[in-house]
Amino acid sequence: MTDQGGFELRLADAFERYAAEAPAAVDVPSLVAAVMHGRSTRAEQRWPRLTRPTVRVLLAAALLATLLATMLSAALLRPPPDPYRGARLLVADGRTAWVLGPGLEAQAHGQVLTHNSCPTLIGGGTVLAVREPTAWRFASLSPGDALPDSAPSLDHRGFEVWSPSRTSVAVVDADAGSVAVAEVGRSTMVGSGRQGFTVPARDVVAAAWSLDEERLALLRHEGTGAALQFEIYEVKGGAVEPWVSVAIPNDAPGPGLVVTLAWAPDGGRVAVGIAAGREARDGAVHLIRLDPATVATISDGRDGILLVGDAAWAPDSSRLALVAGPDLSLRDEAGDVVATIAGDPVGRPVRELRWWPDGERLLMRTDRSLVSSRSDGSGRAVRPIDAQARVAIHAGDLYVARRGRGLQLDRYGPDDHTPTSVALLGTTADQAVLPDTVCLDAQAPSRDDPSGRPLEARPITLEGEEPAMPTRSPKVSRTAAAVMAASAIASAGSAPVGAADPDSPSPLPSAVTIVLGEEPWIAYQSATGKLGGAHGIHLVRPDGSGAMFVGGALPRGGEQLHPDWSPDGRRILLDAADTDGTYDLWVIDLDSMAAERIVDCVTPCLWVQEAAWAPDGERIALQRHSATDEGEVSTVEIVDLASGESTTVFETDATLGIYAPRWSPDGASLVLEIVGWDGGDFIGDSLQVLDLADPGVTRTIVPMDMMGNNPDWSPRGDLIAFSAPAAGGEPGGALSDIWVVAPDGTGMRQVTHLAAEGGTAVQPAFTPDGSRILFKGSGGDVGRQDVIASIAIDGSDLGPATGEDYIGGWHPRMRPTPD
Amino acid sequence: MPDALALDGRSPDGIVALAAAGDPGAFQRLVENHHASMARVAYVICGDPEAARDAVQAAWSIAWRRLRSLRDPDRVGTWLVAIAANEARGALRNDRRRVRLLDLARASEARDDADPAGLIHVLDLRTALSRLGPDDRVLLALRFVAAMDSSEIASELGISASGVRSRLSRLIERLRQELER
Repeated sequence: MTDQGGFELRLADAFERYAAEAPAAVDVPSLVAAVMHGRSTRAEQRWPRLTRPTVRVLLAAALLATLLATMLSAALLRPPPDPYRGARLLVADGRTAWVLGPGLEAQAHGQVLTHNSCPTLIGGGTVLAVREPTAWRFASLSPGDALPDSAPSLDHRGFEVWSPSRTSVAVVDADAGSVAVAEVGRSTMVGSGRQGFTVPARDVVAAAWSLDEERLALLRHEGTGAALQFEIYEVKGGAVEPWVSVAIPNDAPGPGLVVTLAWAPDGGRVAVGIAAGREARDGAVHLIRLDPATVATISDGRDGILLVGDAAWAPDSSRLALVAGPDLSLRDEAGDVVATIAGDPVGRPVRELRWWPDGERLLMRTDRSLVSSRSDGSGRAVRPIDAQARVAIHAGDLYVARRGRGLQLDRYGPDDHTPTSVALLGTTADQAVLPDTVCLDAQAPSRDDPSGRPLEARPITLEGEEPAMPTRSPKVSRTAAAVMAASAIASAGSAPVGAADPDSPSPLPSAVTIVLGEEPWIAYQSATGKLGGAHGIHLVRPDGSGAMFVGGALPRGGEQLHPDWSPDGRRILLDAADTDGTYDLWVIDLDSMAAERIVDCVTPCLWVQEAAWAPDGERIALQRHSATDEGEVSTVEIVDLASGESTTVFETDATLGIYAPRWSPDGASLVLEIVGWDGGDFIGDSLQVLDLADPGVTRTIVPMDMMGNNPDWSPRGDLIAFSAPAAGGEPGGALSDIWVVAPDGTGMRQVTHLAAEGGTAVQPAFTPDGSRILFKGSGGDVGRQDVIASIAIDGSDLGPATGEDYIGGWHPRMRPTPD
Repeated sequence: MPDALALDGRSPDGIVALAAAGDPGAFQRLVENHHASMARVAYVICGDPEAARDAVQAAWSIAWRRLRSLRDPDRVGTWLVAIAANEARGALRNDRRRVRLLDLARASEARDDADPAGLIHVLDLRTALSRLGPDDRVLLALRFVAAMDSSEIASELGISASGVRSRLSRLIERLRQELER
């Protein structure tokens, strides 16, 4: 397995090229009509390949007139003060924008957004710019200001490129002509400063400003050929002068997709990444040196860089980081490779790339993770995020805006693995009515203070009654008022933690023990926005009330699986993803909400999972899978919790895999799920009993061909429940039913009958009194998908395990309570 | 370059809710956003564009009926891809003969010269996949084409993440032996 990682990359690349042959586009309206009306589209439908529309850029005389009129209309807005004293973040949810400054005086700007559009801070950070379908609209950022209907606006028919400090804008108009450049002013609304002027260029497909904002680089695609022309214009003092013009080689049949156009901060070089295909695969990265202008191709997609992606210069311009598949390729000033930096541990492609201001660290964003690493490859940290989260680096810290029960803003220091909650905004009781968009924008750096000032971060929560949705009032919303009140509390020194937010990643307060009481709660795993959409451990009462996320006790954010209760019902055992890609075992003490890692799985260990608490409460049994030269091997181990000592009681070679050990109630035996392999072929799934007095030998109670899985031993000791698929089903998945069998393998009988109806029942767990079985059910009589169901062991009385209604959840397990 | 890594983007929640309520525009938006991903996965599983096309249309019909049951709109992408994968798997089971014939036909096409960068040739990958069962192709397509991790695959297929990891690691090793001989 020495070259497995390299092979996986090559394999991923081959799959991408294979998938690229797939029919890529479809006549969407026809398909939608056919689906909604139950028709086949086969006869009339073709899948034309998506073709990139030809981008034509013409001079925007009318646009410029509009722009100038806009400038004149600036007087409509009073010159704003600077209530935030220079440092701010803008967080928005597609409807309301909040601005956070030092001390966290969150100011709501209600009703500013009308298009689910993410606003941008411009004009030195005092003007809010909102891109709407046909125009930008602007509003000053005086506290509580809304965007008035008569706000100045700027029509657009192409694309715009803001300068780094967002005091200038290049407006590329697709219909009318050329590139209009205007300075929007640093502290006032559009209109102060110089007049707009035009750059005499056509057919612009990309544009970028130099850091000093005195030069504008354009990429033009001339005529019908593939050639790209790179040009730089000096934009100073109201004059525009061409400075550099050089041709760029381009293998693409058309202009290609310009993935990146990155100026080195020193202004001496520009990196251009052009993807030829829709999948950003076959392009190249060119390094353009200026004065005199030369072009060098530093990556052509065949040198190990599988994807042409983002590129970013180090703040001192000494190094260029390029996306190279899931990793980064670090280049020196000449474009030569100096290092490769590992990216996402499971190989997700890096979508976006940034240097931290210290020039030491890099930040990589994939669809599901944020990976930070020092430029020498050390200190890698992986933080899960959901695809909708928005990220900004501001004043040396990383801010992440994401949706939970509102808009949650978290801050990470450069070396932090866990975030500090900065603010919770727009909380609502009903997530279904939340607006669609999550936006985060940091104040643009000013020329005077390029690093910005850090925000002061304090834990914030909402006190008292849960606020309603952000109001449509143009004044400060109730939510923001609540946040401000909480901020005042925090600054007084009694920082509350996330008691009002059951999904808070912060440790829950000790009051949770009062909540738990002696009730028979159900522990289960379920997707949570607090873990970026990954599964986390939750509790819910059997009547369906009180659902809460308790996995926030863990100090890191990976997914959490397979909860099991301690016999006294006061602790929960679980396995959780580690930043190194393995799974470790943790125990959460529900009295203190303290979490302790009890088994750390370290390479070559792949994972430690599905641990079961022994009836004596002093030991746990676990399955561990490890990579060896002979393949993946698995062991069953028993860990003494007091000493931490681990004893291997059963192990296999690579032809077998052990899963899901569960204890007999007398603690003398374990039932194991053992999977058979023939090379890469799955043979079957069996259940076997291991007598701990005679370790090393098991007896089969459910044969391989029945595909039995996920066993659980009844508290009375007389039954073992498991799931098994019907013909055509998946072991542990589709078309399965729950069965029971005596520990000697006799008396097997089916308990649920969902597969016959197209449903499925998996992951059984006896209730503490042994009378019922909880399981994850879908379809059939259950109706819903992946919900916590319950059935009597005689097969009667199927229904929700959570009161009147089903709730979603995996691996449900009921808390043992005192007799 | 903007300060935020991503200045714009839509969460699927609102679209999914609207589509589940029968809004044709929202459903069309879902199709626009996800059809290509589904087609890619279905194509890699089926190995045949026509079969993939049918599988994805069938998947959209299923998705249209089941949208209301989708609990987590954030996962609509993986949910849709998994439905498409499932339909493609069904198509493959029903039509192995045709797909294999197509594989043979394509195998006779001229191959490019060996790639100096050591890339795995697509034709070799197709051949290797044609020797695998439908379930194994589904796992590989979800992992490498849809870029889903083991937990996401497990979640969508309703099987254990441990099992997915084990099966994938064995499949990858098997492909390595076949493709790097």
